[in-house]
Amino acid sequence: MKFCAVKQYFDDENNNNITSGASTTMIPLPNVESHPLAILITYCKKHLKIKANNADNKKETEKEMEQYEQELLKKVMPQELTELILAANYLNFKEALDFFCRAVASAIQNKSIEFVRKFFGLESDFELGEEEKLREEFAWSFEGVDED
Amino acid sequence: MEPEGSTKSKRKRKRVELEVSPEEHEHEHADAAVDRISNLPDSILCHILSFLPTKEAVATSILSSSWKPLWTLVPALDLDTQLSVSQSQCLDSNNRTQSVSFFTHIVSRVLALNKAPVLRDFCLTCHSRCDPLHLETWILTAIARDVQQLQLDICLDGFIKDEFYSGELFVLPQSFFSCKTVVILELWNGIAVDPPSSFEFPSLKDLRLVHVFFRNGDCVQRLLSGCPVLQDLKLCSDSRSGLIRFDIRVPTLKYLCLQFLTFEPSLPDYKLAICAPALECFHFDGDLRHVVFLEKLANLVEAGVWIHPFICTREAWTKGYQIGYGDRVFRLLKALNKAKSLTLYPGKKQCVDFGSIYPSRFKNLVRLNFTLQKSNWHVLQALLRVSPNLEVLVIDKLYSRTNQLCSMEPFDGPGYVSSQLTTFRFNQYKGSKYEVEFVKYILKEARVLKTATISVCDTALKESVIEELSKFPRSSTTCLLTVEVQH
Repeated sequence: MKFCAVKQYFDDENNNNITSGASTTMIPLPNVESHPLAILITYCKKHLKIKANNADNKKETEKEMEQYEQELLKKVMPQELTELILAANYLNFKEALDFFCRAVASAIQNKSIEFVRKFFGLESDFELGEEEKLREEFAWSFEGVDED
Repeated sequence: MEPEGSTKSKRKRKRVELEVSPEEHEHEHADAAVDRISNLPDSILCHILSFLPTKEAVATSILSSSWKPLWTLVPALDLDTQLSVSQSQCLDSNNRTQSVSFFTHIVSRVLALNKAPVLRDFCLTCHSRCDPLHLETWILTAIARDVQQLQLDICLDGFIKDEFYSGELFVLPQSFFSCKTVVILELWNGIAVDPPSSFEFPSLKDLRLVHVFFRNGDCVQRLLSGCPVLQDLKLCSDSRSGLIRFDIRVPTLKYLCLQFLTFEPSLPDYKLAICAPALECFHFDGDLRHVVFLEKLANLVEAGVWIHPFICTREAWTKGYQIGYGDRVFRLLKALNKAKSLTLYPGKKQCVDFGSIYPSRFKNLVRLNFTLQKSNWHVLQALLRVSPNLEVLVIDKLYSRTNQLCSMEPFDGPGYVSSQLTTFRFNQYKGSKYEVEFVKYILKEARVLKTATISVCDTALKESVIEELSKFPRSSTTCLLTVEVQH
């Protein structure tokens, strides 16, 4: 089970000998909204389906998964990424968490500081001169970025 | 199948494209939505930063005061001598020395400032003349900080793209081999691997050796003997690596990937003995010489073989190489006969004078991907004959410029097509005489065929192909024949 938090819930239930006679069990997920959850469930199902289809071929699995991931990213807004990351983190769904974090990293790679600030919605709150000092100290890290 | 060794596996930098235009979205969404990204917990922000090269992670320190210390907590360091574009353009030696000492200063500083409790990933690319003592210090520092994933790419005399390194080698210090925590180890280029006679990497599961150098063939097995839990091994070697006679004996190995590239006949044949009875996946790419499996691969699930022998101008060598070529190919295939999935390109050279064809059957083979050329047509035929449970057959046609003096014998009677075949696919179909005969044969003999897909490169060809192939009788009543165009 990929959603480790959910698995944990089931394990805990079994430990407490609570019989879940009903075929559907309600699991409370207070920190996850329905929209990101829906995307994560789709991602998970797709992942398992691709794995099953290519049971004997690791390379095909990776290739198909990458194609699906590229398609998925086209439909996801950058702002939704936060919710997806938080949801994946809460559910302890490692593959999805890594994927969405990589997507964010990719989005800010090689971009200027101004761009990244806008992307994250940050404002510089440094004391006067502090930012200049940092820029000097780590000058080598600011070279070679894309034009905005 | 593409050659595997040529691109770096830098897992964390697997590029994931995201279309972003902040201006557009700022109008559509409330500011609250934008701000939430910065409210992600520090641990997640560090996780995001761990996918960036260290240079960029350090740059985030000026985003805001809360971001200032984040990069120092990232448990991953990814450093490259090409730390700035302008430095890489330094051509004269004075500037180069300066830029190297600058790099040394940066790495030492970064290592000192990084205070993640555990340094999980350490990746160092050094393509300049850096003092080996510094390199040793940094590597040993990473080891002291319980590194789990270690990648080193060192070319002290610089690296030229698309050429194999031939300069001074960096020798791994003996204390390198006392690392207890490394799980994934990747070594590239100008590194000399000479392990001590007894050592252990107790946690090492994944080892990749790409164009590194060994003093002699024994070094490989000495290295592998010190890896009691090794599961994945990738070895890319070229004619300069020093490997002539060597073994790979790893009882725990599940995945083995070999790539051998040979140039001019500067070295004699290599001779490799493999003992890996737990192997589940085997990939071979390149020049096939003597490869022997000492134990049966009873657990094999997937195999990929892509043979491209080197081209030599010296006639005598070519003749000597060609004798036994077919034999070597068939011997390798015989060892892989338990595979469920096989991807095969036996190469352009004709497999003349092979031994008795497949005394062993490919009983487990369910999926076959074959790259077809005129010269290896009979290999396909022989394989089909001994695969009674084949369900999926995919043919990729390769066209060669050189004229190959070999005829494609038609199938002599039924019995070549498995009674379980459900899926057939032929890529780069051109409609030549034997291609037509082949498809006709499959359609006729595959009794439970569900889909037959023919892929052509030329849109103009599509109609005529549909017309011609639809006429052929199909023994399967549920067979769907599709012709598609793929460039």
